[in-house]
Amino acid sequence: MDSLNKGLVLFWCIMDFGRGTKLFRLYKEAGGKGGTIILGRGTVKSELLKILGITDTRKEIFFTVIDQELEDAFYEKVINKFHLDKPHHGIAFSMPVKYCSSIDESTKSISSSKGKGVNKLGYEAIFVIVNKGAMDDVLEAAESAGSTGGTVLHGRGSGAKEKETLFNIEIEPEKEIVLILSKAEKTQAIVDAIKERLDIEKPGAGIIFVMDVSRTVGLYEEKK
Amino acid sequence: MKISISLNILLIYTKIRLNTFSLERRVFLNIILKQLKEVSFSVLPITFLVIILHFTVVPIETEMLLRFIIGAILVIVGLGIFLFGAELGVVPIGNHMGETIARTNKYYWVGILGFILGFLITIAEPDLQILAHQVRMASGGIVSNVLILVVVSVGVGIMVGIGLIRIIYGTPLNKMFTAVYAIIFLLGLKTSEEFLAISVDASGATTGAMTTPFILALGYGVSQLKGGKTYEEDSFGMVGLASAGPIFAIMIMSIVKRLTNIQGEAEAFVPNVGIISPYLREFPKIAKESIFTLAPLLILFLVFDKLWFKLNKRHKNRILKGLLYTYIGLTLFLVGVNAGFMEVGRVMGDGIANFHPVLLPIIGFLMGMVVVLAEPAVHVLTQQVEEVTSGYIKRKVILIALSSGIALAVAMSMLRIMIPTVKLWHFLLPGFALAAVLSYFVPPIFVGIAYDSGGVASGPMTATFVLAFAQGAAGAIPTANVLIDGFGVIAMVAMTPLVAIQILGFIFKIKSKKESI
Repeated sequence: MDSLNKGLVLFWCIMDFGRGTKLFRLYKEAGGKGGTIILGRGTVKSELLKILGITDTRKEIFFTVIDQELEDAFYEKVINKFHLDKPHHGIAFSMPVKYCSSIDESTKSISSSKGKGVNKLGYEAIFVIVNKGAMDDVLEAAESAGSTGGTVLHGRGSGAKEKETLFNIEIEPEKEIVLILSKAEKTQAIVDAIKERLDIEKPGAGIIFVMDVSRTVGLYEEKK
Repeated sequence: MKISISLNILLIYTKIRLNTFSLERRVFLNIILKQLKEVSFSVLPITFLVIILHFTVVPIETEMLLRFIIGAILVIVGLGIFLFGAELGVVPIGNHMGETIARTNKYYWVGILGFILGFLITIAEPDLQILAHQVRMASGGIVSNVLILVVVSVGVGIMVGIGLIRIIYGTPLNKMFTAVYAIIFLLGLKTSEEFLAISVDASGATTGAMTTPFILALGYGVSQLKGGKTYEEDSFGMVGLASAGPIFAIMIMSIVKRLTNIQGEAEAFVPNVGIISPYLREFPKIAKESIFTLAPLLILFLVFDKLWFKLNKRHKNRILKGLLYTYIGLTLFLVGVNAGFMEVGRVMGDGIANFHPVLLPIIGFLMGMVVVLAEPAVHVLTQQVEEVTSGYIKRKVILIALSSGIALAVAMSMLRIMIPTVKLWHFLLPGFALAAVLSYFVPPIFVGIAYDSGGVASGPMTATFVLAFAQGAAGAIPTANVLIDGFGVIAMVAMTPLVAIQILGFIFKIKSKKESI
């Protein structure tokens, strides 16, 4: 529907704790590459549980950038396996992605898609997912290219090439997820700087994707 | 009182049933069933093992088997409720306190508050009362109960204080534990073998079901506030350090008081009679004891809340409810263990030794493997591991390592009971030495998890059941002494996880090296 996203979406799925690895396995079986899982807590809606003091439970949040061609088939698989169409089995949703470092092998520049003037506000969200310990490099590289800061989340996940098991249980290495909000004209420079610093084209080094932001508040611009 | 509570809950439930959608009921059932499933998977293995043994090697009386099954049900229900409570009450209290302590921003305040917390939660621990009684008997009445209580609690308090300062100061855990165990080793040279066993056992007595989650959460709270690169490894190691406190304390006491030989006799074993009556007898006793376990935590929470936390009413109510659940859950759990499991452990040990002693290490191995799964604090620790590492180190992997460790511990203890020339220190010394060496070669987070597991594994379930099993076996083997050989089993259970979990860490290290970057 939107020609700008070039067929890439960010797929999210939130399910009960313990399902994350199963979903990951399903995704890889479906032909997907890497993905990331973060932990969170979700509310439960039950008066009785509220009386007992139990208001939320542990959740796992899985997200990955996928091709729209793969998306439909994957949704079907997820629904079949985890019964997401029934209540309280989890939720899944997708968001449009502008650019992704590993899938956009054509190395099209980000600004080319942005040039069509859709982004009125002029801000974009850059997500960088790297191995644990690399967040400092990411933030430094981003700052050198004009970013004013970033937020780091902690998660686990793996790329297509990484597959390790221990006693037949998958090990998903720890990852750091860096979120940077940047002015649209600076995005390209920031992405390039991070790419160069971390050698992101190399398999297993990490992934960068960029999404549009429709509104921001609290960001300040450095006076030059 | 308990009946009126459950009646009330039933009343509320039926009221809600009448005027809510079936959807909400399903959410409720979903969560309860999930918990029940998880807990059953932890308790059923040991239950089945006993039932299989009943039909093959050691037939036990029907009455005892029925008692055991009732015990297993109580343990499942109790553990389930306890874990809900730990998540709602004990862990948040520990986290809040850790944060508050770290915010004081002064080393001495961190040390003093850590000491006070460690001291207060230990001195009320019912397990410690039993230990104090045992030590007094063993010493022939030279030391009083109160002295032992105070000395051990001071030991824990000092170690909790030091542990918290360590997190802030950033001393590596491997150096810390090497130092701690080197001092223990030096003290051990001066301590008689009997008191060596008692002192290492003492560490199991103080890391009870309630204190362990609390101390874990306390360290987590401090490291969460401190953050930084070492955040993950800082979140562990507190239980390991705290459980070294009693070892110091008893060793120093035995040296100062010149205690050498264990005197006295083990209490005669009297099997229970009837199916329900042992439960009716144990229940009020344990219900009373558990109040003492809970009281310091409740009082500390109320004081800290008044002075620092200032939580809103909803949050506070939730924590208080959590404490109530831990109380109910712990009581049911311990009643089940004491009235249903303990005597079965004893009879099994005795029966297998009489049937054929060679089977002892083999069945001991299997028992160790399954019994640790039912340990309450193991759930709390593995959950914290998953939380801190975002699920990178999975609960199952830790459980596999832990199970194998405890399995070996029980099997080796059986060998020691069977062969008089094999001494406790033949296992403990190389074990602790290996653990110390390994700690320099594995990822730091595994050092903390390993030493914490040592304290966690020697909790109420393992301590009671495995100890009873060992005593039963020792009673049936002529060369063994029930009292002396009984001690030291917990020490083994506390030692093997150090090695097992660190070997796991080593495997993780090798596996992750293969990856690019």
